[in-house]
Amino acid sequence: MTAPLPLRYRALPIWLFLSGLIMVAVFIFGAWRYSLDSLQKEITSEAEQVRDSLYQRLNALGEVSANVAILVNSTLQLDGDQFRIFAEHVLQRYPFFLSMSYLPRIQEEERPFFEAEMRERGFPQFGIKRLGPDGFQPAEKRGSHFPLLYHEPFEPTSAALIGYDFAADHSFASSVDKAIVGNETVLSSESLVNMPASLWVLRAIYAGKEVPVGAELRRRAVYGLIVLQVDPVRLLDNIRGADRFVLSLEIESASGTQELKRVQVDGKRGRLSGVLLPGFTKDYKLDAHSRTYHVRLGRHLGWRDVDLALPAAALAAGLIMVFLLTLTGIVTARRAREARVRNEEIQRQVTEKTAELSVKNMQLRQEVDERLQMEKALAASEHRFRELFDRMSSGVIVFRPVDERSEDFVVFDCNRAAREIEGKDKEELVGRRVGDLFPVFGVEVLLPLLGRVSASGVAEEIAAAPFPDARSGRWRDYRAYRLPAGEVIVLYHDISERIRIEEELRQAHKMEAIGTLAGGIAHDFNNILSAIIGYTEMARIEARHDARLTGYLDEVLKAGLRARDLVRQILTFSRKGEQKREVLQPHLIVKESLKLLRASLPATIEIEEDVDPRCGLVEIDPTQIHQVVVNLCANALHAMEGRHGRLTVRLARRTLSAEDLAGEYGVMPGDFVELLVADTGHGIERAVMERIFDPFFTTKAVGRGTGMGLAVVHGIVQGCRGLIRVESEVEKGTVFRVYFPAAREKILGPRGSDSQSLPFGSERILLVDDEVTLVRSVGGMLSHLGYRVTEKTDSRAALALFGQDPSAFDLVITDQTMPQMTGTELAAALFAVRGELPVILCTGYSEDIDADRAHELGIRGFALKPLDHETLARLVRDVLDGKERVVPGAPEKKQEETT
Amino acid sequence: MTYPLTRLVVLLICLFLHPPLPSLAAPAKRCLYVSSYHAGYVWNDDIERALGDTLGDACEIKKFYMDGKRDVSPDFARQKASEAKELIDSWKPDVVIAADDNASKYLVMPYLKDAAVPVVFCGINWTADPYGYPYANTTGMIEIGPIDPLVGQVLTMVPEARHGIFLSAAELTQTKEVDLSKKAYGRYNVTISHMPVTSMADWEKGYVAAQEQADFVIFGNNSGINDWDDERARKWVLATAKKFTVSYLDWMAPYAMLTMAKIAHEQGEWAGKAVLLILQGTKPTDIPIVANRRWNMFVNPALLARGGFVLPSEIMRKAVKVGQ
Repeated sequence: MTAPLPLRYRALPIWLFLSGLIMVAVFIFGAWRYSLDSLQKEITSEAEQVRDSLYQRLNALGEVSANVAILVNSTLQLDGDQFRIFAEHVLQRYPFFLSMSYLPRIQEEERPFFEAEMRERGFPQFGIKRLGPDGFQPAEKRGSHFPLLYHEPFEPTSAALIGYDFAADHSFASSVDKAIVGNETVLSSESLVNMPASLWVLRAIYAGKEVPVGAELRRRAVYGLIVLQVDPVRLLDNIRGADRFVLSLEIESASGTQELKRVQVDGKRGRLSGVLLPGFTKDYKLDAHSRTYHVRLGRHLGWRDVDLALPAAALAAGLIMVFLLTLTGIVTARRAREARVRNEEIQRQVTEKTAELSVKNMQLRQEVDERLQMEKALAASEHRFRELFDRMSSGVIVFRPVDERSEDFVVFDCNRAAREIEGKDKEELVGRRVGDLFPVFGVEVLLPLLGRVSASGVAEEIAAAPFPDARSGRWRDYRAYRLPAGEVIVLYHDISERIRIEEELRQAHKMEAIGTLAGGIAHDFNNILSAIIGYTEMARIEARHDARLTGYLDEVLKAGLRARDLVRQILTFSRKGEQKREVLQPHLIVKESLKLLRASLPATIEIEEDVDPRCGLVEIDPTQIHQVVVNLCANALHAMEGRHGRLTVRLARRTLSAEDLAGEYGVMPGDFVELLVADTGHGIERAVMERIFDPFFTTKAVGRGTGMGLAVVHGIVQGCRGLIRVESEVEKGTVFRVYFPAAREKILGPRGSDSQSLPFGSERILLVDDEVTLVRSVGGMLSHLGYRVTEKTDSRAALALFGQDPSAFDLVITDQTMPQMTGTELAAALFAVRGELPVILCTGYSEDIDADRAHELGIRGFALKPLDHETLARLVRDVLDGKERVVPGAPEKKQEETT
Repeated sequence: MTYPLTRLVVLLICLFLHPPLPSLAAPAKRCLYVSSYHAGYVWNDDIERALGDTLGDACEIKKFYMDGKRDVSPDFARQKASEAKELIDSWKPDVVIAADDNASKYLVMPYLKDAAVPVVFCGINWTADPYGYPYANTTGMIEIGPIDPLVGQVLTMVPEARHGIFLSAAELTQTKEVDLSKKAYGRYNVTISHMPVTSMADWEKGYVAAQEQADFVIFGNNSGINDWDDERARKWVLATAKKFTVSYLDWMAPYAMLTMAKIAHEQGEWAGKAVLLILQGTKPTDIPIVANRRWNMFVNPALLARGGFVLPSEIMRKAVKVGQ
């Protein structure tokens, strides 16, 4: 159901029709006004022409009268016929003259003769007369008369004027006298009784050839007047264009009373007809013949006067417009109705489509979002790529062939690393030819590489023969790939560090091998030394009453202990030895060490000590820091042997940044305690410098050094994640800087020792070790301490025994490295039978077990062999008493391998 | 019902077929032209023509000729005047136009003085005094010759002139002309003698005699010389001319050396205009009696050459040349 059309559409045709009518009215009014204005301008122009013509005409009055006067004056004897000829000519020439008259001057004394003569000449009624209230009356007697004698046209109507004395008439007297005195054309506006609204032009004729000068002379010399009667209507009518106006002429004349008199002469009425429109009126003021003329030109305007073409055109156009507007309104309303129907249909369809589009829009929006995300991701990727490209440590240069057939390449792009490596800005690199950038290397190596890769598309690497950089002496390798666009990208690395690391890795492998070898040897040595030390101590107990034998045994024991220390040093170097790391104040140890060293310094050596007590804390085995100080100082003293020198030992706190630690691996930036040991010795040659940390490398004479000093120092420093730097100059000295990471923990107090009395016990102990000697020595020490010991050299046998009676033993002490079953396996088997069974695990060296691992397995005690008597007594007692115990020096946690 | 309807139809038919009622048209004015002479007389014909032209259709003109040239006897004139009076009484004109002296003398003065009918006269020679004009019902134009100009030209051409002879037919009007000439020439101490003739031969003899007796000759009207022969007169004057001759009548121009002639047309035209005014309601007394003021000038070069006279060049240029 279609809703009714809104009122604005239904009323639109009517509205447009009315609007059109209004516009038509406006158009017609505007066109009418325009036409009217144009007409006004045209009429104004015509009126001005009429005014000018009238002015000329007024001036012509004077000229004509003057000419006639001259003509008459030149005629010897003027008769009526001659005057008629003159007059007819003038009247024909100038139609605005109604008549022309000649008035001779007649003296009063001549009057009777003149009148008689005129009567004789056929004018029986002739007499000089004036115009009175009842018509013509005899003129009064006075000096001079100017009777009208000749008058043309000579008509019966004007014959009565014959004898009319202008001078005797008050109306004309002043004009006559003015014309005589002034010798000028005078225009009188007075009218005769039968000549209303007429004008009279008066001109005097004087006797003689010259006009006399002076009023009196002129009054006496004048012998006649020429009078021309002007018909104002004709005067105006004959003016070209004047007949188109309603023209009035007003003449101001100054009478004797100085009053203004106005004679209004109405011209012909305009012949215009029709409804009068706002008329046209123009007033002009003209001056001529001592008179002021007021001319009013008017015109009654009718419809036909106005150029109706434009209004008609406006009307026609307006009607057409009204028709079109109305038609437009009707059509618009109809279309609006149709459109409304269509719109409703369309709206219905739009609603449906909108719903579909909404779904589509959502999908599109999702797609757009996804695309935007993709674009963002792409931009981010591009950004990342660019960042990656620029932040790559490898130099990357993209080369492009100079042209399709050229074998030469130019730089197309490069990353920051490449610019830094080459020491050039991007502008200096991009666009340069390979040969220009790398004169020798480029021509000999790079260009052939680019050519091959570009031609084959197969990536190629110059890896077998890294090329030295002529400037820095550093090492690089190059890899070339062809990009899909034909460009060849070359990645090159500064592999100097890699080579160094590889060298260090080889060194580490060597150290590792040495450490492994030492560990294996140390295990056997420890077993041997355990037996030696154990039996020596038991023998010393047995021989405590024999002083000499005790002395021997002490030497044996001392040698055994030194051997044990040596083994520990080897383990320390290889970082596999037991360590007692604790947080301590290094300056105390350094001072103590220097105190010991100072006693053994030769007099030629000056020692300079600069130890900062506020240098901080380090976490390290105190024996290790002592060993570092001793070893470095020993080397320094050796370097200054036989010469004067100065040993400088300095301990201070330092902060090292990442830049300071560039090239160091495994060392974190932060606070460090720097130990500086400098000498003024012979220095270290460059070739030697590379090997000073190698184990067993020594420049000392045979028997004077083990070659383990700096190797141990190096091992200690790396073990505590520190670093060591060496500067040396031959014959000037060497400076070692050892940096220990500063610790933040509090200083732990010295661990308490109750070594004054060994703990004893009577518990039952199952002792398991595959080494018979070790079983016997340890079993002997335990028995000596009061314990009941069952010794087994076979772990499976021990387990079997335990299985027979799990409660028969209070403690199990087992070796780790045993054939058939390791110590941890045995412990696990024992725990399976009796979970709370105290177990102590002893090991000479094992890759697989440490204190933490043992604790995780439920093992309560862990100790490294060889164990001395006291250590064994306290360990056993503690475990039996329910304490978990780790033998000091035993590794609590297995140290990670460092590269 | 039928009877009144039939009467109405008959009435309508009668009205339709009836001629226009006289009372519906304006009554035509009547103008009676009374000529002292006869039709065919040049002077009369010119007056009559001008009168007709001026009046046009203003009035119905009826003409009456008193034929005073061909019968100059007073009885004949009185007879004609009586007839004219009867015509006036019977026809009842609105205006009577009396041309020339006989009409005024024998008709107007005895019968129409102060009558009801207006009278416009014309062609009265020189003065209206003999007829007692003006009357209460009359106006008109008096006929005068251009005597003064002619006197001037005679004195110019014949400065020593002391006597002149006025040669004309023996007629009343010529007496007036002679008297006026005597007065005009007398102002210059020139005497004028009248030589009236009645025949062609007398006129020829008189011309020859006049040239023997006088210093110049004035040709008056030949009207009244019944055997007048134009060709004979022309040949005669051409053969015998010795003295300066002038005339004031245009039809005498072929025989005179210089003629300044009255114009009959002016008389007729003036009379017509006056009649029009009277017909329009103007009283005759409001129209003054005036004299004519136009004339024509003729020269006869052959006669001038015969007599050995040379007129001023301006006159020769302006004058009409005759006798060629």
